[in-house]
Amino acid sequence: MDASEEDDLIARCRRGDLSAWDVLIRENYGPTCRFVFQLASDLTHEDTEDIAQEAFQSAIQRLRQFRGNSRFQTWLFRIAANKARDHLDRRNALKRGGGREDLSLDAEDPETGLLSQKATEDPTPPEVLSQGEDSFFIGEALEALGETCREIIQLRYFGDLSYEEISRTLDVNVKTVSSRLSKCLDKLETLTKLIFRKANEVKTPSNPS
Amino acid sequence: MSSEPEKDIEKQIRLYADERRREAGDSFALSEEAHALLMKEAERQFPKSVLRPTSLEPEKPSILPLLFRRVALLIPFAALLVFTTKVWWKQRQPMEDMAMMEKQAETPPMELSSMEEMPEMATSRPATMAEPLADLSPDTLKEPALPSSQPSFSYRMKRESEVEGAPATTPPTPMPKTSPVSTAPEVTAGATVELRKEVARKTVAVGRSAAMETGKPAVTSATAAPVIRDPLVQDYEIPGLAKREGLRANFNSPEGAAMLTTFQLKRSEDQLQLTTPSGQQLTGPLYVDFQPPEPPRATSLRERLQNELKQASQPAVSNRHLFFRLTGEGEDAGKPVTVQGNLVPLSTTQAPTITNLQQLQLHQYRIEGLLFEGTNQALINALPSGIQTEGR
Repeated sequence: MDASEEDDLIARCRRGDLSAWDVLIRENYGPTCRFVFQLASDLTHEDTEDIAQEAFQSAIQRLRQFRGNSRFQTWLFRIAANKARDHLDRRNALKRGGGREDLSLDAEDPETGLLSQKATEDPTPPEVLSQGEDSFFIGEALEALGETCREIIQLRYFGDLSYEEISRTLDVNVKTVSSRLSKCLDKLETLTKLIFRKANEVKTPSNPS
Repeated sequence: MSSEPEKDIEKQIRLYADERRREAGDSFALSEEAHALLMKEAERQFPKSVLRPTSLEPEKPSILPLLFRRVALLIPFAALLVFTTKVWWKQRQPMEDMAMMEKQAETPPMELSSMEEMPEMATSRPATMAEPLADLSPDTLKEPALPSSQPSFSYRMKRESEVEGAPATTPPTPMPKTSPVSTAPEVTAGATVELRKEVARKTVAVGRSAAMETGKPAVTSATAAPVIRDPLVQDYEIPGLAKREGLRANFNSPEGAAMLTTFQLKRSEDQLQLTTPSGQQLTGPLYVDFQPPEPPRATSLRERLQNELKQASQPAVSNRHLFFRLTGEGEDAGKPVTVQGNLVPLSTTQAPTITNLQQLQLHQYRIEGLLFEGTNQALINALPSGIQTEGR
């Protein structure tokens, strides 16, 4: 669906054309679910569908606010990312019985010189090893990233958006997108290494062999 | 940017993303329940009632914003119009006032208007006047019998056709060729006097005694005898009871004496001399074209009467304003008597045009004025004696 067809479809939706709504929902549901599924390594299919349906419901309610600066799917992805974030926050809060601590990139561990706080308490390192270390570390590092960096990386690598599309979506310059993405990738790499090291430290005493 | 060499972390992210996509597979299918819920939400948010024809053309703007836009444009325009009108009106008002003051300054105090305009003036007077002009029926204009000591006159309402021409009862007398100037005034004098007297009588009706109701002199005949007159000397007579239309300054004052039944007016240069039958003489200057000085005994009643007369005479202004003010002693020794008034052309339609006093012929003028004797005032409407009256 090109841009003009999408504009027409959205215009019909705004006029209350249910057939247009049907097309809009069906065509974007699968991509939205796949996008959401990438956002966190521990999201199940059920979680993903719940998040996607919440995102669609919110998009329906906010369609009057959609200004068309970006594609509808991109706008929907951002809503879904926020919904996924809310979902993960709620789930982590339930697991801990309270709030969760964010990993600060500024607070360094005095011993290692790296960040002192752990990104999350779960899953346990043995679980990590069973799931695949790379995926786990990347997912954990993304969750530990700040909102700005996480969003731009998600749009770029999970939503497969170009720099231009990201710049229109975030309403920033393309060069800003490039520089911000570069810095965020550096932070993500640092976090990934930190999480990997911590995981190995935990793994070694528990399994001396 | 995107052409830069890929970092390791980027590769790891892509690997992670591919792995998660593989895990997701194509298993994400929208269930009918979820679809129905979303469609229901869409229908609730965008109900059918607001369904409009699907068109790719931009929607026409609604009428309300257009209306508001027009009103927003109209309000400043209207405000500007009102402001401009107000400013213009404020600027114009003083000019009108000045023009009115100048006009009043030019108008002699007691000059009646032309014959044609008199009825209009009478009808246009304020409603506070005591006698409405509707009462000017022939019956109300009938004059009661006068005492034998008074000169007798007959009255007859002239018809329209008789005003300009000869009277109905008296055969017309051919006008002498030797006095062409006096012809027209004398022919129309009857009608002029009739109307003038009525208007004057109506005008001074405010505050006047009931004696006004009893007698209304009028001169009806236009058959004046052709005589050659001395332009410097003229006898005048006050027909009917006009001489007795005394106006008291207050109700405690006595009635004014009927001193002026007839009199002679004589002009010498710019001096006038009024001689009564008893030999009393009042002298004073004749003013031309300027406002007369205030009379010595100004009372509110007199001022009011003068204003009434002024209002009645405003529409018509003669080409020259001839005002006189004569003073002397009355029959009671030491009691000052003042007569002031205007020489009014007998016919304003054919008013004599004079450029200097040498051209002034008294027989072409009637006299309108006021007599002040003590605290009393009397209206004077005198006609040249040459105007013939007939008894009835």
